[in-house]
Amino acid sequence: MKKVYLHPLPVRIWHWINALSFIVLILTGLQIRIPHVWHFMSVETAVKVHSVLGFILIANYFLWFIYYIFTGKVFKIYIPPFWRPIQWITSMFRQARYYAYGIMVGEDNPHHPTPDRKFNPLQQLFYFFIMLVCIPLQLITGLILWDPAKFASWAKIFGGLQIVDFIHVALWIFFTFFIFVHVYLSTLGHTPLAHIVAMITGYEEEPDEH
Amino acid sequence: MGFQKLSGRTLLLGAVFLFLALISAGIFLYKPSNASNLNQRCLLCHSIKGRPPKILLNGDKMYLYVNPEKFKKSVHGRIPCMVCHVDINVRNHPRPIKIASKKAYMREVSRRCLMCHPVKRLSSFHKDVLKYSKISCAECHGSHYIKSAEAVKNQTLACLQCHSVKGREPKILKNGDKMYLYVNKEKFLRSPHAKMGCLSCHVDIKPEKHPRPLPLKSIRSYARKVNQRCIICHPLKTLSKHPGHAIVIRDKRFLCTDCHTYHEGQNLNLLRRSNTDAYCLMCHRYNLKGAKKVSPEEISSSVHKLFRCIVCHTDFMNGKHPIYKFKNKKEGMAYFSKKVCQRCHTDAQLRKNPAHYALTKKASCIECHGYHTVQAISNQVKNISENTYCLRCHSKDIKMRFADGEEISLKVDRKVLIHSVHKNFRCSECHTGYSKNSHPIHHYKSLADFRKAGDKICAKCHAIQYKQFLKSVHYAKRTAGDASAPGCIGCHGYHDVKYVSGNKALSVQICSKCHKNEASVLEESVHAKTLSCISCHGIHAVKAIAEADVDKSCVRCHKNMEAIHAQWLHNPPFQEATFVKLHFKKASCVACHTGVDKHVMLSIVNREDGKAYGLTKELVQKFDANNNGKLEEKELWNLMSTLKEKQDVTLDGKITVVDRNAAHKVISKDLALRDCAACHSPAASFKVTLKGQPVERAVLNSFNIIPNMRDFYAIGLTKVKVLDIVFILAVLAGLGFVCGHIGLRIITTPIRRKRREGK
Repeated sequence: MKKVYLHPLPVRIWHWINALSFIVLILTGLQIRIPHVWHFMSVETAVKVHSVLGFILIANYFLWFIYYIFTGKVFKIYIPPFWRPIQWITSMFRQARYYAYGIMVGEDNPHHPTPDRKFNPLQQLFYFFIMLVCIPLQLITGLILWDPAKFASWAKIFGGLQIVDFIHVALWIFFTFFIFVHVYLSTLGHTPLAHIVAMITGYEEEPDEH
Repeated sequence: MGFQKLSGRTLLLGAVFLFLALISAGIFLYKPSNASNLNQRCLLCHSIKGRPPKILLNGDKMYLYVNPEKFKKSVHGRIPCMVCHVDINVRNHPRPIKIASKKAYMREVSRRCLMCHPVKRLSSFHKDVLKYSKISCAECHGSHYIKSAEAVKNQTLACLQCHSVKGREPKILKNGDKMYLYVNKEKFLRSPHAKMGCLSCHVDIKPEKHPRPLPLKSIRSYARKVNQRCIICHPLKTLSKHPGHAIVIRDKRFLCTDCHTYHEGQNLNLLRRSNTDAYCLMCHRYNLKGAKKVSPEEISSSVHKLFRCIVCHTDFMNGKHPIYKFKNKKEGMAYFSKKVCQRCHTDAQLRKNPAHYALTKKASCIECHGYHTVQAISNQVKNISENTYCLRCHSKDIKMRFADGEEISLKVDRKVLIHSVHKNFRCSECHTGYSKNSHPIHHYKSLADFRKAGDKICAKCHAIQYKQFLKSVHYAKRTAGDASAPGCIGCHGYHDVKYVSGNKALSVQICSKCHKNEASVLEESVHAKTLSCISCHGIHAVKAIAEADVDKSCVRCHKNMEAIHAQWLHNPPFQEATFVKLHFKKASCVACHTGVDKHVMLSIVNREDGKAYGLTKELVQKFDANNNGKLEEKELWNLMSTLKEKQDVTLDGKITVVDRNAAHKVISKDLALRDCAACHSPAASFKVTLKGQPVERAVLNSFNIIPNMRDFYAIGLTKVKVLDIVFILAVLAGLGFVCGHIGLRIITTPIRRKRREGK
């Protein structure tokens, strides 16, 4: 097994902060929505925790964004090759086939990560969508809902607070779903903890090429 | 013989002549000395002094002593004792006879008086005494020593010998009264009582002991004592025949001598005939029960001073004295006004002055002009101020009737007027056109019409305040036809005008006349001691503070509230004033500061400019398809769809209190609501309304609020419930994916194993 330095330190720091924040934000979000059904903290506390973590998440996002912009890797890693659609779609299909079939029958993962191509085509599509669309949108809508008066003009762009709230809640639902899938997929390395350890050490173990 | 020649007839005539001659000779030759001789036998015993008295059945002591000398001098001195004492039988006297009482015996004996002095020959005065007083002759005239008229006269003259001397020092009584003992001899001798003699009244005086000073307390007490004698001869029943006299007699304040004088003996009949006014005033100058006191001075200052009493009181002519019985004073006034005043001052004459004529239909003449102090108008105008002149009528309970039948009192209380801020004003300064000489008549359709005119009077001086009033909710309501909406006088009063703005208690008192509930709630508020109604609602330009605008009133006094609230009402990690502003915009102060149930007051606004859409309650009710008085979810969205077809509108909302009145019950800030979950919870109990029409609570959690309620958002409160289901589905999908994939991997494990083993 060879080791590939896949996750630089800023990315790992960002990831774990993001991960913890996501979990707590999802739970506090749930508490805010259903205090009369499920009560593990007061609405006031839940809102405060949610707000503070929201700002941490914003800062964290900027850490990620600045790192990838300055290193220029954002384009290599996150932008799917839209300009080579057939190759991109084929590779996505191949990766999807692997998750749906190949992994069951013991085929090798068609994607072998390198520091410049660490995501498989499906990951690339999802993370592109999550990191550059969903999270910014969630952060902006969260910011608007944090102080609707201060960000009234932003809310107007979205078409009103109710729409902002709808987007925020819809993404919250999506992220909840995503967490389950993400955590599960993180266990599909050559060992269940391989990807998780890699996100701690930065080194991903890759089978040697034959 | 010569006798034999006389006929029988001649003999009969002679016998009759002889009989008559003998009778005549007997009468002629009768000498009292014979009676005197007869009485000698009685006096033999009854002239002995010091004999013990006879004790009568009732315990009276009857002294049987008779002074022979005095008896002989009396008018009955020559009459035998037995003529009067017929009960005594000489043959068995002195056998004691049983006598019930001294008085009873006197009455018994007095019956004999009537034998010689028959009732028909007695004066009417004596007849009344016998009829009503039921006293015996002896009680007045004495028993044995009845004086002759001459003796009485002599006695009177003897009294007057001293008492007719002018300039004598007065007798000083115990209470310091000076009792002048002078009696005008000539006048007294002309008086009806001259024949009775002094001692008939002054029974306490014994001539033989006089002038021994009598211990008298006061003139009044002595007069009262002497007056007791009057009613012996003048029985009360006789005196009460005259109804007016009966009133005077019943009034214990008066003595006979007060009117009839002491000795001169006023001849009232003569007075009545010669000077009726003086006769009337004999009694009516006093304040008698049921009668009007009449002051001679009043009459002399009246325009009717030349009138005799009977000119007006015609029913008192010819000595008549009717007694009126009225239910109350007002009825009496009305009666006399009609029967007396209007006999001369007829309706035709009164119609010349319409105001005065109108007044006569509301009040009696006497109510304004008085009973006997009737003044000429010219005199009234000359001597009194304008306000006093007006109040002569307007202090009475007079009323004005409007065309719609409603009435208003035109009574003005002087006490109220002098406590008004307008106390130095003349009536005509407000009531222009009215003066001492002019009284225009105005006709109003209704009280509201009258008050409108009143407001315009105020506006003459208070133009700025009137302009402000025109912007008020009171004016708007009045314009909309609410007659009860107050104008200037509705709050400030007609004549008790007061400064209200500086008087908190008065402000609340005035407003509470109509806004009773609000005032009572305000009393329970933390503002009760510091604020009045006008503090929030304004003065003159009174505004009905809509629930949406209540905060504007609060921040007028409560400055820097955003910074103060931001100390605890903020969303971390930053303290932003905008966060407080948002709450101030979407929740009224009273929602948290009253402690009462809250409600979401929906409104429809134009999305372009944010201004309220002109929604009417009628339109909202129109969309209540099932007419259950509540706008249900579907009905609301139907309404919104309909409105959106015409304009780009959206629902907006504000959290305020359910009971608008409860907004006055502001609690202390320590008790104010600080629990976020009170609003930010889908389970928070809220009433929802749109234009006052109740709306189903579920609309706030409907998916349709996303397109229809763009900018009213409260965490939890406006949560779209369907998204919770989507969330659950997402969780299930995530778990399903994981479990499904793991399951497939477990199932396909043999395949992978075989592949690894190269099979």
